[in-house]
Formats: sequence, structure tokens, C-alpha cells
Amino acid sequence: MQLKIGNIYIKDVQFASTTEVKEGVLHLNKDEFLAVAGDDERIASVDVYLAKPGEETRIIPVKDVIEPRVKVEGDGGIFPGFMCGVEQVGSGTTHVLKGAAIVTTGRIVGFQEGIVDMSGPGAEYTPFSKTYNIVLKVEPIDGILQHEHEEIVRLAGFRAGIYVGKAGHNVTPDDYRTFETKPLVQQINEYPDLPKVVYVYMLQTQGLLHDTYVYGVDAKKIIPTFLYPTEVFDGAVVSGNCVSACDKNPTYVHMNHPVIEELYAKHGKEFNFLGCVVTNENVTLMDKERSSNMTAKLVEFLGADAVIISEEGFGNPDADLVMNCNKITKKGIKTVLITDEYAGQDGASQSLADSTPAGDAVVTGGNANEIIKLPVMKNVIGYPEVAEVIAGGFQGSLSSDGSITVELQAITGATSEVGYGYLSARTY
Amino acid sequence: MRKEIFIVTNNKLVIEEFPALEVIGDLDAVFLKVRDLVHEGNVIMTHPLSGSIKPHETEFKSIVLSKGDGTMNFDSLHLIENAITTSAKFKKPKRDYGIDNSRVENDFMTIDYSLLKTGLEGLGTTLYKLIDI
Repeated sequence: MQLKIGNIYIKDVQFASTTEVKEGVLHLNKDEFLAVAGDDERIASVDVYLAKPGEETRIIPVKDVIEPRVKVEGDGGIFPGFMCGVEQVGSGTTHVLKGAAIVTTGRIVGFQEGIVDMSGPGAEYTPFSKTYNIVLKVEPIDGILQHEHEEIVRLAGFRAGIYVGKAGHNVTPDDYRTFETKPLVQQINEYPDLPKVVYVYMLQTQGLLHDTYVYGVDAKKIIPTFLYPTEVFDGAVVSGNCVSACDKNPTYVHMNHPVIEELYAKHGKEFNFLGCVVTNENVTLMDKERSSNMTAKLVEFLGADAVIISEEGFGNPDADLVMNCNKITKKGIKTVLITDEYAGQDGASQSLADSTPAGDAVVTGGNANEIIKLPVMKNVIGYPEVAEVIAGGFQGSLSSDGSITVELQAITGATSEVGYGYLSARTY
Repeated sequence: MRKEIFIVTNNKLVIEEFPALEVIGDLDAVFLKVRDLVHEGNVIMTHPLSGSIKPHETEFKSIVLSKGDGTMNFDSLHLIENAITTSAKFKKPKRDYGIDNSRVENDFMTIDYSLLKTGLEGLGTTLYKLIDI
């Protein structure tokens, strides 16, 4: 399966009378955009704001981030199972408005999280301070409960992403990147001397506000399965995960999966990247046993010599991470784990809720408990009043001068467990 | 014969709908009750650290156990001891959400209730029977 990604680099976004991309500037017809994004009888009102890198702007609370993409050649469309049918995606050509993002905000529950600062110290911790953001604020009609509210905001974001992505359909991309994974036997034979690597892609799937979807299917109900990595670039995996801003994978991150991109970068040189096994993180021990057994079996069946395993979340998913690590290691396959840490504000506590001696190669996305002070911003998009009740904050988080002292966990993408962020460690 | 399972909870939304062993108290009270039950030979069926809302952001917790044969299950003990250690790490004074206090409390209860329901659906009724204890 081969996918050509055509990047159209976006240097600015402006409201205009016609939605189009001209010389790298994304022009957006506000009324048309709102009509498409708000096209759901359960929505009372929608509004849109622009937030650009370097501005003194805070977006709060961020629910999801979506990259505008459009399929220009090949089967299916972006976000299969949601915005189109369930044709197999991941082949042909897809155009990307690189540098633009749809950011959704909504008050789904009373407690809040998900801060994106476009400048200042907070901006250094979120990748979405560097994108030209089209912020979509969604208010449902009265009487909508949390489950439905989450779905309404999620789907509005996808509709907005599809609408904006279409502006790139007839634009010649600035550059192309081609990704290819062949059917298993051919792929193994292509680089017979290189070690074979599989990516075990764990998805947050615990329930309300903790869900992820694969081709429209609630991933807590899947048996672990194989995905060609390019399927992910067309939106085969999307987020319905609204909790734990720092280490959840927004839809944008699934579409730009850094582990998959990096595996492709070294594919055919250092190793032979065979593809992805997607698996879940359910709440019952029985589901965990079943999914980790199936994952280990699939990885062995694919002939992997080594796997990368990333988790999404903390606590319950640590158990899945450890089970996957133990069972895959037991089959004689090497593992590298990716996680983040909740090591206390001083970094001195045990980082995960579970551990294993088999987990002898671990990459961390950073300590989510670390404290940061976020200064006052001139503009606040979304719901400024929620600063007092931000998760990762504490009593007295909001100072009288308007600054907020919070743990990194409140910042969208700060400790990404797939490495889509800026934290790193250096030795001197 | 189906295995008997039961719920331990401090969440009134759960108590209103399911037979459950009610714990009066916070998250730690639920964890300590579950630890006692594990020592008595019961087995944990749903992860004590379910959900991404951190311990003490929310105090509501529902955990499913199965009735054991009196032999202590070390995997369950490991799970609940780790949960207790994690809870201590996250301990902080209760937040005041002002006028939103009751809404936030209701949201936390709803999420715990939803995660429990997801767990019960995952366990199903073929192998397990939910009992009152």
C-alpha cells in the first residue's frame, strides 16, 4: 500500500469571502465554515476564532485538534467511518494543509483541561502553538448529556477539518513524501537482512471521554488488528479522548503519527518496518488479558524481531503496557516502550503505576506533574472562566494577577506518549 | 456455574442503579476496602486506576471484584497496593469549584459510572453474575 502525501505549507490564515489557498495563505469564508461545522440539529451555536503563532492568545479548554486533509486520488476519504464510507484508506494521494489546524473547544464537563498558549512559556510545551489555528467553539442545545456532547464536538471538528481540507484539493503541493508498506511476505523479502520491526499502537479506550475510534468502530470493542501505517495518515484512527490533555493523542497526532513517520524514515536502512498492530486499553482485567494475548500473537505471527510499544494515558493503561511488554518479550521479541511519567512535582516518585523487569528499554515523554506558571494572555479563546477549575491545577492555581500555576498535565500535548512534542533530555 | 461478581463503590449514581457494596468515604476508603476484600480472597476484575482523571482530582471510584475461594490472589494484591501508592502520590487538598461544585461532582460521578458500566459490559453475563453483597 502506497500513499503520497502532498504538503501545502500554510503561512497564514485569514477570514475572506472565498475559502481557498493562495500563495500559502489559507483564506476562510467564515459563514460557510460555520454552516458546515454547525450542521447538526443538536448544536445551538458555533463560533470561530483564529489563533496564530506568537500571539498573546490562550485557547482553553481544548478538546481535539484536527489537521485539514483531502483525498485527491485513491480509495475512500479522510476519517473513514465518520465523514465517508469505510473503504480501505491509505493509498493514492492525500493533500495536507501543513501548518493549519482545527482546534475544538467546548465545556463538555465542569472540570476542565487542555491549554494551548500561542506565546510565552506555555507555548514551548505544546506543538499547537506553532500551527495556524482555526478555533471552533461549539455550544449544544439544552439537555444534551456528556456522551452526546462529546460526540457533537468531535464530529463538528471533523466536518470543519474536511471543509478546510478541501481548499487544498486543486492546489499543487510544495513537496511530496511517499510512504509504502507491501503485503507481508513481499515486505519481508524486500529487506531480508534487516531486522523486522512492528509498532504496537495502544489506544485509550476506557469509556466516556476516554475513547478512540478505528474506521468508526469504538476501539474498546476491537480485537487487536493489523493496520498498514499509511491508513493512519488518512484519519483511520481518531480521538474521542478528552481527558488528560498532556498525554492524550489528539486526532492531529494520529494523522501525523511521529512513531510511524520515524519508523518509515529508517525503513529499508536500519530495519524493515512491517506495520502496526492497534490494540486497546480497557478497564477489565479480562479484556487486558485477551488484548495483550492477541497482540503478542499477532506480533509473533508477523515475524517481528523487535517492537515499539506506546501507551496512551496513565494508571490503567500502565497495566496494558506491562502485559504487552511481558508477553511479547516472552516470545523472544525485543521491546522498546514509550510512556510519560507522573513522578510527583519533585520528580522523585515512582513514575508509573506498574512495572516489569522486561521493560528494560523505555523512552519517556516527560514528567506530567512538573509545575509551570502561565502568565496572563491578552486574548482568551474558548471559556476563560474555567481557568480556576483546570485539571492539573489546585486550590489557588489562579493568582490575583490572572496568571495560572499548573502541572504540565493541563497543557495539550506537553508529555506526548508518541513523542509529538518538544520535551527532551540532554547530557552535558 | 457463573462466577459471582460484585461492585465496591462510593458513587451514589452507581448505588442507585446496581446492587453494590457502598463505601462511605473518599477514594482511599474504597481502595482500603478493596484491599481488605483481596486479603479475604476476592479477586479484582476492573483496574482500580481506571480513567485518566487523576486520583483526588476525583474521589469517586467503583471497582468490580469476583468472589474468590479464600486464597489470596497476588496479582490483585499487587494491583491494589500500587493503586494505594499512586493515590498517596496524588494526594492534595479538596478543590473548590465554586458555583460549579455540584456540576463538577456530578460529572466525576457520571464518568466513574460510565467506566464501570463499560467494564460490566466487557465482562458480560455469560461467565459472570452480578450479585448483591
